[in-house]
Amino acid sequence: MATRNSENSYITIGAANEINYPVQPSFMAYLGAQVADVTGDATAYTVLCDQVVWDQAPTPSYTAATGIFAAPVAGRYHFSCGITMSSIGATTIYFMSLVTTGGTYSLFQCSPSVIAVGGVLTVTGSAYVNMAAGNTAKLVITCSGTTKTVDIEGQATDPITWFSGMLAC
Amino acid sequence: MATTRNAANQNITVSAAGAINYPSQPCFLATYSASAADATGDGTVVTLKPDTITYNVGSGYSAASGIFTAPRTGKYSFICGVTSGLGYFITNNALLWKAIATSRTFTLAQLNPYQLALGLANESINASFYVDMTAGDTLYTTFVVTGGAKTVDILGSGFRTFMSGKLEV
Repeated sequence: MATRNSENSYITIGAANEINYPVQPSFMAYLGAQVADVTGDATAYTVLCDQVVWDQAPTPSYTAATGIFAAPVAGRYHFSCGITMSSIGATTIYFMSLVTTGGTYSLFQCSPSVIAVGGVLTVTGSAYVNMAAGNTAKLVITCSGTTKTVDIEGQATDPITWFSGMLAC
Repeated sequence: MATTRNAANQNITVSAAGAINYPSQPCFLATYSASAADATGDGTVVTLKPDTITYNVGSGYSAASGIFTAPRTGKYSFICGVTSGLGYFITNNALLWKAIATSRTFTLAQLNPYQLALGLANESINASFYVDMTAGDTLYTTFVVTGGAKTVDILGSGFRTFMSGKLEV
């Protein structure tokens, strides 16, 4: 049975037999600063995580300008994301979704005004997604019940709103 | 020339650019195709049974029972989501969502669903976890809401209530 890739470094095995996949399609990006007044009036806002920590793919698969990940190869992808929002006010419905070519995943849905702390709420979510090459995924937040006054929070150094994914199998 | 196949089999495939797939790795994704009306609310414990299978490599998941049976010993990751509601009543003051594996039981969510939804909307919650499983071990999830009448629905269509997993290592 082969335990090493003899001709390339797509699979690397350390001295203690730990395994890395240095060019496996994966990405991680977070929001570097607050984006104000993006939803609250039922606007479906695509989160644009602009600080790309890595985009480890044959070609960049995540586009910060659009917030869209495009699968470079077919497979099952693991996505993990989180959103911190503020200025919740009288918002009655909060809906965080992963919108993919194959369907929309409901990651978190609630009435945020009751459970927020000081008008701020952070929630996270994950999903496995079956994707063909070129299929896309994006993180979308929709708040309703008030005016377009809800902000998405970002920080320059630490991810408080983020979007990440990788080819799992 | 880069190797793009495992010489002995195709259980690991490597693209020319280095993206790695594991086409035979045990994994599954299933979702509720339609809502299950009046499933709980009065303390009825529901075993969640996502019935539409997106993929089921290794045939470990049974849509009829909602049970995943590990086809091979290892550490598995699971990602699940539940959307429930069509409105909660103020008396619906407890929600308990569990993943019951042979080796141990995970509490995925324990909260006041009325406060989360404020009685106005559906609510979605999401969880991910790792489980050590021996071949033949099983895992299923249960969901129960108490405090009121049996009027709480498990919501389907799209990926609103889903269950997925994958052998990791």
